[in-house]
Amino acid sequence: MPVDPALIAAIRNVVGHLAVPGLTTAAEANDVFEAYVLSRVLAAATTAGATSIHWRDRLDNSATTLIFRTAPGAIYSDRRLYTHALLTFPQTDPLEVHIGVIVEGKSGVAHECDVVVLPHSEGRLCRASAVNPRHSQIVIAVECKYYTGQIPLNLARSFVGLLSEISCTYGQCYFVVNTGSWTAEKMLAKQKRHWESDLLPNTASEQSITASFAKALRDYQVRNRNV
Amino acid sequence: MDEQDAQLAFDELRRVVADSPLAWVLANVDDEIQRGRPGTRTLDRTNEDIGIFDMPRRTSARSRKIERFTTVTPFTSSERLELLVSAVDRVLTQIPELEERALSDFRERGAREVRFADDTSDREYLLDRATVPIGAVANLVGLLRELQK
Repeated sequence: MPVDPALIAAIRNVVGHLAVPGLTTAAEANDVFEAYVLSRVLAAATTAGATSIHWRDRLDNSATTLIFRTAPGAIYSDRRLYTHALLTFPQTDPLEVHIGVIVEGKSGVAHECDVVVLPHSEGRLCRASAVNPRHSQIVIAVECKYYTGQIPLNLARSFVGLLSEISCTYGQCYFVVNTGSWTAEKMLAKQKRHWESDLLPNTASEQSITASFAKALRDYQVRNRNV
Repeated sequence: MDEQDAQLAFDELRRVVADSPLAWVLANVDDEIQRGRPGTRTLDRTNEDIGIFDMPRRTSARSRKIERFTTVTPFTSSERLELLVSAVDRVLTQIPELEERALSDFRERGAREVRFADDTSDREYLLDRATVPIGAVANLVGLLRELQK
C-alpha cells in the first residue's frame, strides 16, 4: 500500500513548524545535554555536603545570567564573561564546575572536556596566568554525547584515548550518553571505564551517575581535608 | 507494511525531516544506517578440515567446536524507517525533558537565564523551556507510528 499523502502532509505540517531551542542543530542538542550533566554535578555536590553553590563569572563576580560555552574554549578567555559554578565544602578548598574548557594533557597538548570539576585555586591560577588547567588537577571530567540512535564506536574509542592523556591520579572520568550502544558499552565495560548510557531525567542512569559524582566529590573532600 | 512500502515511507519521511528544523537528525540516522547492526554469529566448525597434509582423518566422534564471530548486518527498509521515526521521537521528547531539568535546577540556584555562546562568533542563544506543546508532540508521534503500519 503506498504512503498516504494526507499522512505525510500532516507530519510535514507539525515537523515543519518546530522552533525549539536545542532542536535545530546537533551542537545545540549537545549543549542542552551538557547543561543537564552540569545540573547533575550540582545535585551530587549537594548530596556530598556542599555548603553553598554559587554562579561566578571569569572575574569571580556573582552571576545570574549564565553564559556557557557552546564550543570548547580556554578557561581564561576574556571574549565573554563565561559562567562556572563554585562549590563550597566544609574543611576543603572550593571546587569549580565548567562546561567546555580546554585542559592540558599528560603530553602537554590541549584537550577538550565537556564538563569538568577543578579546584578553585587551579581555576583562579589559570585565569590569572592565561594557562590551561593541568590534567592532574581534575576532580571530575565528563565526556557528554547526545545522539539520536546508537552511538558509533569511534566516540567511545576517542574517550579511551582521552583517558590516556587526562587520567588524573585521583580524579574520575566518565563517558555519558543519552542512548546506548551495543559495541561502545561492551568496549568500555571490558576496559573497566566509567560510563553511563540512557542518561535522562528520572531514570536509573540519572541516579547512578549522580551517586558516582557524589562519591568522587566526597573522596576529594576526604583527600584534601584541611586539618 | 512490506519492505517496498517501508522504503517509500522512509524516503517520504526523510524528505519531510530534511526540510524541517530537525534536518540535523538525518546525519545521525544516515550514519547509523551506514554502520549497520552489529552482532555476533556462532559457527559450528566441528567438521571443518584442517589443512595438514598426510594426516589421516579421524573417524571417531569429534568434540564440538563452536566459535563466535562478530558481524554486521545491513538494516532492512522497515528497520531504517524505525530508526528514523525513533530518532525524531527521541529528540522531540528528550530535549524538552533535558531543558526542563537543567533550567529548573539552575533557577533553584539563582540563575535568571541561561545563554550559550563561543569565542569564534558573535552568535548567542538563549536556553529556554521547550515551546512545543506536549499535545503537538504526541500528535506527531502518533502520525509517525501510523506511517509504520
